[in-house]
Amino acid sequence: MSSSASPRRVPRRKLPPRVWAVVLAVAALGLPAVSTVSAGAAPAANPTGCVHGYRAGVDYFPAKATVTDAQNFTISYHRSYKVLTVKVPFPGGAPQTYVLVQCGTPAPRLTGDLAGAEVVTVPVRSVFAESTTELVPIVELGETNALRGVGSEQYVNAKPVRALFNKPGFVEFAKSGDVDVERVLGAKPDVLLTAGTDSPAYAKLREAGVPVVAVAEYLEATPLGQAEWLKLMAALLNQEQRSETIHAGVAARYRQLAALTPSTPTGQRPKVMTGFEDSGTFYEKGGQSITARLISDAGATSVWADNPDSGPIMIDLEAELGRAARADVWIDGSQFWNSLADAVKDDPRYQSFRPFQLRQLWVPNRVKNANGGLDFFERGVARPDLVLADLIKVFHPDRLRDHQLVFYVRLPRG
Amino acid sequence: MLTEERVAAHPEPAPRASVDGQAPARGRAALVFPLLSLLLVVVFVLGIAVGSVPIPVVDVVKVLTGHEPHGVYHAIVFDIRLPRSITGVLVGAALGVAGLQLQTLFRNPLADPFVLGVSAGASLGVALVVLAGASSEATFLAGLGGLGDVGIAGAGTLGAAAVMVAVLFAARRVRSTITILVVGLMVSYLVASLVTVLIASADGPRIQQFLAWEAGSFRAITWSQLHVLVPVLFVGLLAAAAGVKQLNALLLGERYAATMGVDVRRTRFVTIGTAALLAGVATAFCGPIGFLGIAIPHLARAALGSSDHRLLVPASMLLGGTVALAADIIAQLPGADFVLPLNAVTALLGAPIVIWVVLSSRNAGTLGA
Repeated sequence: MSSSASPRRVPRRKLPPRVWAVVLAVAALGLPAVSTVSAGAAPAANPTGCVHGYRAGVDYFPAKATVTDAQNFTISYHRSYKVLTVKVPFPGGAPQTYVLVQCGTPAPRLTGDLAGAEVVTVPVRSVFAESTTELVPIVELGETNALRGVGSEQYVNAKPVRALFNKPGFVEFAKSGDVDVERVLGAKPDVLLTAGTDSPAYAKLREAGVPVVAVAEYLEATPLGQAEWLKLMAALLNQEQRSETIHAGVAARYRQLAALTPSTPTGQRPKVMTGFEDSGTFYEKGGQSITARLISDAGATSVWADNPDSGPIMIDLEAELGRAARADVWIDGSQFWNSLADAVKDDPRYQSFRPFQLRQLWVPNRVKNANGGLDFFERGVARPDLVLADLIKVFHPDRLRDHQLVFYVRLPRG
Repeated sequence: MLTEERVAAHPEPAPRASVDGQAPARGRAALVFPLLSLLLVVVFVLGIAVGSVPIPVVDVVKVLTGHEPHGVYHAIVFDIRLPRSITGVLVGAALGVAGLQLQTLFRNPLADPFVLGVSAGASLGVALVVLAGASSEATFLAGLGGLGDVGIAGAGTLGAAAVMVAVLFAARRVRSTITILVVGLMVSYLVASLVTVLIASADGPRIQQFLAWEAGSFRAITWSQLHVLVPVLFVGLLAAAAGVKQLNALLLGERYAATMGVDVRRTRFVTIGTAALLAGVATAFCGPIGFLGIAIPHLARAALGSSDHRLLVPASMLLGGTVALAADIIAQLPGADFVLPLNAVTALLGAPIVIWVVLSSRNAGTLGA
């Protein structure tokens, strides 16, 4: 599966000139490879290292990130430091504020709103990333070499990251699922990015002088909001200029694709079910979830569209049958299924769902690593435009004929 | 064993009276059994008629009589509610009887299938497949995906059987029943700690899958699994029914039983074997469903006012099936699309009832002896 070809192919129809310009600019970057940004972006880049001879009043961050799609974090700029706030760092968590101070400039006094904030010196030169969703943004920002550790190597797909695993000093710091404090302290990275959950290890690390920044992109309401967390990582790496260009490209393509189908009348929208059953309980996606949003933007309707939940929901198998037995398409079945026969082995009752009978069961396991880790959970978060293109093609086969599916596979009979 | 001597020497007027003096218990049984049977039928009908999707009774009847062979209603009634109801009744009966057997054998009102470590053994089997099946997709498919839910149940049965063999081995070697109880409890702890180790080293989706099994459910059972579950449990229940005389003899203490011509070791062996089979298979397929094994025998004794196993065994089957399926129906909150964990419902609703029954019973002090 050639991934670099897809972004060019996707928006081939009906693009206005301005969008074309952005698309071409991003395509010209060749995404991860090239290291300089040209294409008429912001005037100057932020410092790539420490500055010398601090002068008050100088704006050390000419390139600034503007957060528009994401709701769960904010960035503000104050000449020699930035203030980053993550509103919900983990489910139920209180907001966390970080003061990102330009290396070589004095730290501001932490009073008022900043009292108790965590200070991180930027640009960070060594990053520990607990979640695989953080890897693609770091690679796309051209900062692969700043990555010095990942939580678990097991499910990583990104080739530039996998290439780091054998480098001496590269650390796998949460192999068992829990952050190994000693391993992190042994390497003392400039920052550790969380996986959007809480752990007693974080308090210990902060105490020992390792800044911990929460990354909770999965709590966003929209796919583009998730993708925009690239800018949080960019703020830590002083790569705002690149992040603006990259996100603008993703967002433009996404909106262009979403505009392909809104005219579809409700009655003609395919009805879509998601998930799989386990011990009599069906794991669906809530009506306000990212998946539901993708389904809707792809010109279809989730069978649970009226459900108010934003996360996964657990449904009685019978209730799922009541709602979804007459559905048209089924996406995101178990990632372990490679054929319809695999699904039947798990539970023969899957055959009662119409999408199963129509052989319209799609699983995003086209790209996976040797351990079964899905690229969908990694690159799919950073590239919602690719996911949306896939889904439009799944729901409306007559559209996007040139698009090669990136993540989704239609399960064969077996 | 000093403890056992004491227990055996302890006067037990209640069972003696009711086993010998059949008349009052018989009269009550004539009332209780039709009532229990009626309750079971009512709950079974409810199990087929009630669910998260409202289906008109007419359509339910149509499905059952084969007049609507396809469609959503058929799938719901025939593939979900019917297997669920059959499973609930059989598994409830199995756990109830297994509990009764073990309470009598160990002369302990707190005994249930869990104390022998049989349920823990099933858990270990399932945990090994689900949690340790592990790091690569290839092994996962070979272990679980390739076998599906039948694979889980098979592993659970094997785990239960392994523990059962260990306990039976102990049962042959040692003279004292209390020793077997202690061995069973220790095996239970040992196996449970292995499961904890497996959970600690597993990752998210697999832990979730294991926890889903551990929450207990009759709804996961499919027809293909019933082809295994029904005959096995049926054989187990028949074996339990065949052992009522020996159980009655054991009520009087192992020494008395021996003087009455009962082969105590053999009885012990067969009773533990039957109980382990019933509880092990039920647990493997439906998860470790607590409470029923310990509570049903108490409810049966209270209902009948008797300790005669010729009455208690069938009563435990009827009550067990009724309570288990009723709990599963209640687990589906009215109007809700999700289901409470069965394990939570059985204990949440059942424990207060049992406390009330035990406290209000006149011979509360001798219950379970």
